[in-house]
Amino acid sequence: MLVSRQKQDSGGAHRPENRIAGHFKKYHQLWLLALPGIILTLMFAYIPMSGLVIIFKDYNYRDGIFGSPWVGFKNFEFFFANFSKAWRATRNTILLNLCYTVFGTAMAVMLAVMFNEIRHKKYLKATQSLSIMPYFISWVVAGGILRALLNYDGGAINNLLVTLGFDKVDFYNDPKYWRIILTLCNIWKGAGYNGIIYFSTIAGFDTSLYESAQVDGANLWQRIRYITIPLLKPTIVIMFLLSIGKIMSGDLTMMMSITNLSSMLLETTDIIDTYVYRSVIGMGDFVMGSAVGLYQSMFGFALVLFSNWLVGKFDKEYRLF
Amino acid sequence: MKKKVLSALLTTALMLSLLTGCGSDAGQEGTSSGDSGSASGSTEQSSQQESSAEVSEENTGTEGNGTEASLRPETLDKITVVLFGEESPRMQELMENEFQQMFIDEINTEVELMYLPWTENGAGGKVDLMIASGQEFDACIVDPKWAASSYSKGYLQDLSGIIDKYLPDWHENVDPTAFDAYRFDGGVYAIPIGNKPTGGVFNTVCVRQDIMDALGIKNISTLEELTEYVKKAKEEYGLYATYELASAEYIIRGTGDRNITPLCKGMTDVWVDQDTNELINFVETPEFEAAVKLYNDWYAQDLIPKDILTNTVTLPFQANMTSIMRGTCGTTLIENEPGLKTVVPEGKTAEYYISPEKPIYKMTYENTAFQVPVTSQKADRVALFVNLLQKNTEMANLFAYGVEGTDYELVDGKVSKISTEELFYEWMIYNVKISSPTTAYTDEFMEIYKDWDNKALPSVSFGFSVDYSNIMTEKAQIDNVWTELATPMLAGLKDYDSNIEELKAELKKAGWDTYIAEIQRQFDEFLANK
Amino acid sequence: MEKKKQTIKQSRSDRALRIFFYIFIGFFAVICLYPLLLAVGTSFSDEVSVTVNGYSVIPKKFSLEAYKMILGSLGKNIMNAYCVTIAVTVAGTLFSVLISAAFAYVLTVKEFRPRGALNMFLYIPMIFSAGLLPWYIMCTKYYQLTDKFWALILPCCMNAFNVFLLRNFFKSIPEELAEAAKIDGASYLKIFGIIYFPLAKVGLVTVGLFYALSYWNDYYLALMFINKQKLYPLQYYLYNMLANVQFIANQANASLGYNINIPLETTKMATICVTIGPIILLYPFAQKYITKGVIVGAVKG
Repeated sequence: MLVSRQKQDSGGAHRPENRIAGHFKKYHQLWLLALPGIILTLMFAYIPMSGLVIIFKDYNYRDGIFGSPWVGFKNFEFFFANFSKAWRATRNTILLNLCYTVFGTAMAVMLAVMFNEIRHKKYLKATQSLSIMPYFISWVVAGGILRALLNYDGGAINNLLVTLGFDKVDFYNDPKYWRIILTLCNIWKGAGYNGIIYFSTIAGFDTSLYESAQVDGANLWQRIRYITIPLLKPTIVIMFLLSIGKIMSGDLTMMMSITNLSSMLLETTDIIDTYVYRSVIGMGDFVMGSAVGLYQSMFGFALVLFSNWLVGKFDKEYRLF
Repeated sequence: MKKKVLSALLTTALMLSLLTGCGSDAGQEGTSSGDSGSASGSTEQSSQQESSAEVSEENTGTEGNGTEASLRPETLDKITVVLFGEESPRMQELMENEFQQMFIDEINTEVELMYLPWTENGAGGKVDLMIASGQEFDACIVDPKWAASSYSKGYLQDLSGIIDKYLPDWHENVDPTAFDAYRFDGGVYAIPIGNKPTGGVFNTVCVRQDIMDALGIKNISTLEELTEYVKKAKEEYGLYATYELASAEYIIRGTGDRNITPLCKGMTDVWVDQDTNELINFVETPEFEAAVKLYNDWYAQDLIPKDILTNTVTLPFQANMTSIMRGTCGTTLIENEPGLKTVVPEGKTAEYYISPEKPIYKMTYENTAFQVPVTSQKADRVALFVNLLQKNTEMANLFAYGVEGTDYELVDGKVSKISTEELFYEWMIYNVKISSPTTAYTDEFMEIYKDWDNKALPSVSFGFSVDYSNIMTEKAQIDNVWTELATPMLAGLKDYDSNIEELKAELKKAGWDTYIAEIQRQFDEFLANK
Repeated sequence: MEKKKQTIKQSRSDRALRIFFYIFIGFFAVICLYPLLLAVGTSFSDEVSVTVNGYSVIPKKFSLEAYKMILGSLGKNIMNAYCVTIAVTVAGTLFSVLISAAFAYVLTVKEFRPRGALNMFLYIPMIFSAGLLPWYIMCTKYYQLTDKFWALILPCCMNAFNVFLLRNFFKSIPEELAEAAKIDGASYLKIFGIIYFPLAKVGLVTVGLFYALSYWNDYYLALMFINKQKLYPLQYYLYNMLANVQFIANQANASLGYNINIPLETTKMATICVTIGPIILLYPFAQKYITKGVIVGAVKG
């Protein structure tokens, strides 16, 4: 390690061409390994990304993407024109995503830790397989099932409330319940799947740590608290950083399937994606949607850079880049 | 520290170089793509025009020999037609044999079908992508709203030079005013197909006749009678009124002083006065007030379900869950009754007009049409293809029902199907002038259905459609306000008095004045051209 | 004496905690199982009874209409569709894991300076998407992916999330191993091949599972690029059929002759039952490889 660093540095002291040549001579195998990934990313992400200029244009076929007339920020106008509604959508999006991330991660980690303590192989297999099943149930179907639970007439929860002597709750016309309901839905759908990540990470831990802790008399709770959780921290941080970039983007399909974009619930459920959808669906113009998509991406990117810097303050190894 | 700064700098520099590098790279490539795209587009377009001009010259040259024969092109060529859904096995078989033979015999054209899922039907779907990327196909079904959007993006080919020459039989069997929905700036951008009566579509209230009979209610022509029926149906049978939003088109039809209708099909906010041609903000009409108050009143009496905005049940009326729905020009007998009868065997349905003495308007053509993308060079053959599908009874029946004796039998002039597999869509081809009705069309129904249109007057905005490209920002904001504030009122969930002012103010803030002025301009132009 | 007491007490509290874990996990599994049972029950129900009574675990009126719909749609193509899906899943997963692992390994080599830039290069597309139109134009016009088998794999075979995940797994491999190999004169390729690739088995299996699931579930690439029926994967058939049923049901009161008997809800449920099956088998298989102590053993050995 030390030797190689010195070599590189002494190479760099001469001429820049030499340095580049030296770099490639030394690392050509690494570049070779990364090459397929680089090419594919360029092909399917970066090159088409140049088409993003479309959002500053009034696109038409005759002139093509690059020849169409420039319109500046006109495609953004509709979104920011009503500032209070745009702000509400932004706030709802961030709040909901924070709930999803924080509680979703907590649940996934909890599940992984618990799965790790299950000693009966068959029980483990059965429960773990079941826990990823919701991932395969589409939101459309999940929305239908939720209605069967929450409906005012004949919904399972309201039936239960009536039997217990309480008043019925009109869930579908009262926005205040929906942050919780949506978070629960999201956890139900993703916790088992995300739990796999943490479960596999735990599987990679050094078992001798646990053995020596046990010899020292640490109980199960202490072993989880002082060994498993700290060891999981880098993974949790990475997952958090990866999800924070998407904090401004919501799941339109989920919202449509679960709330049917009901006007009565918009106060807490109108996220940026639904706001845009409600605006452009009448025209079938999706350039305006992409424009807002850029706003979402820029904000997310700024936030990631900031959190990445912040994380780096504590431990450089935790950083994403 | 220094090293950190340095590495940060290096990273950003590298990133930037990467970004700008590939950006400009891609930019160039992309530009060339755009250029070549537009270039090929325009050359193709012009060559298409040339070719059609050539063909037409040929035509004029041989016209003396009889128009029919001369239209059949001399060379065999292939067109690709995009349809939606699934190609049934029988359709596959027919497209390889009988249908294909017919296409070759009649129009010397091989037809290849390409099926896409129904989700791609509409703006922004795969068909638009295919046109934008220059993938070749020659025709696809389209509706007026989609056509308007595609037109503004320059995806569609102007067919005005073709429709007069290549649709000889079509002009006999289809009402040429059907073109109106596809006219933009003097051009024609799609060829409609099919012919069905559409007068008074969605203007009637469809009710449960069996319940009316049992309750002893003779007729429904006023809101009081309707409310009484709905109330009793809830009391006696436990049915909610409806899961549909209050639509003033049918619920409070004709209750105001003026004769007003929505400007176009599916338009909720802008209405038109049929007598003065004046455009109206629907929210400001007494009809809107009446509709909201009626529904709010029903909601208070528990006649409207609490989950009206979230329940997605597809056909509640057929499932014996609601007592009314909006009617579609007498077709309930074949649309709703068979379904209802599987749940309630003695179920019967009927349609009534509220204020039957007021005039009934024919709003729009429901007809599907075929669009031809600018990339296609075979618009003439597409026209011949559509013409063939609407040529005469024999052809219309063949393509919709299949081969007589194998796929269907004629019983008393009605089609009794042997195979139920879908061929060319029945609903697309069906033409009252030429198609044989199926046995599902009872005599009772045919009697009502045939002269349904005769009672209806054409609306002043018949065939008009709005091009939103100049008012997209306003339209987007207005739609947004509409779904948030007007929808719950029309669902009966919010009352009129405490919400109407906010709705009006928000619409104004969203740019209503600009919006209505632009639509007025387009509408004036439309009226002037008429 | 006291110590023994303590351990007994301790193991008792351990046991209590463990019992709580068993119960909690069992409870969560039931919450996940119930909708599945609803789906199975509803898929065997008659459409009308579902519309009127809602979903139910035990069909109120038994019917096979939904499965007839699926079989009718797939018909004789069912074997072909399964083959395409399996081929795409297997080839795609192998290819993706290989490429992602190679890339992720490069990101873990500490002395490799451009690592930071490559991380950024990988991360940006996760947030900024190109937009459908330019992407589609590039894929069809320049890469010529229409009706190619690889069209179902290439556009999504480099998933940034999975690469970061793999990078994280690679990081848990003790650096000393790589250092030792380097001192022995091993090249980077060799270190990747003999140390990282085999030792990160848990990570590779996990990421492989994620890739496999995404290939198995994907219909979108087929929708975009495949027109030939021969290359339709299973999910695309089902997607197409469901869209078709939905259209017919929605159109019922705008057109002629259709009615409530179109099995819309039940077909939705049946498609879940048809596609979820293989996954139930796949997961326990992958789980076998997610076992403890692989790396530690290697270090000690």
